[in-house]
Amino acid sequence: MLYPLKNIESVWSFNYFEWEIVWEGNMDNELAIRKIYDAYYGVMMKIAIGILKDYALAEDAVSISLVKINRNLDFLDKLTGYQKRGYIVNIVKNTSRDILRKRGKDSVIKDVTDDFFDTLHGCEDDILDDLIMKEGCASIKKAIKSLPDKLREVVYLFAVYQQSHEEISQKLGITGNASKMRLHRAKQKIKKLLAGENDGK
Amino acid sequence: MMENNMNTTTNEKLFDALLRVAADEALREEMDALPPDEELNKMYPRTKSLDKKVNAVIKREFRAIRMKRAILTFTKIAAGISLFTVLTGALLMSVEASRNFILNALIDIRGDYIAIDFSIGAMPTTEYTGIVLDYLPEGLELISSQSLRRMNTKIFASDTGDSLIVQQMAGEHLSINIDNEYMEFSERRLRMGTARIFETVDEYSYSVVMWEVGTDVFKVTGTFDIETLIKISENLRVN
Repeated sequence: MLYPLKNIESVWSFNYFEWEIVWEGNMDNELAIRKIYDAYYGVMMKIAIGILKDYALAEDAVSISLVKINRNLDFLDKLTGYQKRGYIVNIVKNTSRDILRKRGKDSVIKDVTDDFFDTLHGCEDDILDDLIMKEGCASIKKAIKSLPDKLREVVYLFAVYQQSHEEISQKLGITGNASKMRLHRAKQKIKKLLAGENDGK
Repeated sequence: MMENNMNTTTNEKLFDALLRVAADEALREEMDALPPDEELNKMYPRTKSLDKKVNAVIKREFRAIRMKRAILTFTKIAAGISLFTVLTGALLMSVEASRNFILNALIDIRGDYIAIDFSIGAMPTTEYTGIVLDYLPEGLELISSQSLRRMNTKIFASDTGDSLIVQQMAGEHLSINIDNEYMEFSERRLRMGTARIFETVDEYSYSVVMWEVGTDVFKVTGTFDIETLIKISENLRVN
């Protein structure tokens, strides 16, 4: 008597049985990724072309991004609407910049204000904080939008998606310390922008 | 001084809380500023080259995942050396105890699987030694090798997600079921004799080449096209 394939769960005949069963389990993830591709390929291409300015490279960025999305599928499943879209957009932006960097054509201009903020002295922070606390959410939002891409994406990952610095570092391909430093600079820049706005009033 | 420190800490916490809300609103507005997905999908229609690239990376990604799990499975099996030997013998024999084996493989093709029973032969008198592959596709590296008394197994994988498993097994008390939903079965005369060929019809699945030499069964499973698998099989020898 011979057993049908699906009934063989504990027979250690040859591993292909378990292999085939595992393959069936993977189909869910594979379908999920294909659904994401079907739904978001347009926005992914738009973002990638915007950075890479090359259709073929943009296609590469989209396909690589899908691999990264697959590795974060569990997290992505918890998101909906603009947050899900934002996460996917974030991945594509990062992938596109990686491609540019590897081709030696990173056209992102180093934000000279990063160096400026490095020289901020601690004694000014208290004054800025007092000013900032009087500002509303709207001003902070405006400041976030004016941040350079590299700083803004860390703010989104940290504040919106509540990722740890370790998770952020893995996603962006930077060290944990670099992630902390970018967040710190982002906060400093926001505070400075708010203080400057307040001075103008 | 202490009061100032406490104010700073409180302010920082308040700022972080405001930051979370503001960042969420900023993200929402940034995403809303983009056209809807349906519109963007029309503005950037899918091309054949994009679909091809996406299919290729998805295929590699899930092959890699399947390979890792297969390796884990192999490792588990190999870890129970005597148990495995008993299982392939006793467990199947407990089902097939009253069955009479014929000399050649008995193949039973059912609806969703193909069953192959190999014959009772003499117990192998020598220990299995190594399998040697005189032909191996580019990029494949050996990642696992198990040499048991009645089974040899070698697993190869490549960075591109291709995988290959080569096995030599004692034909005594041996039963193999192969899912034929995604495979076409045929027999072909190869250099080493008549081989059973299970060629996948699903681009994401595996093909199998199997043949007997004496009381031994050889099984080559891989992600390659069938002609490559046949070439690997024909260039396999035992030390």
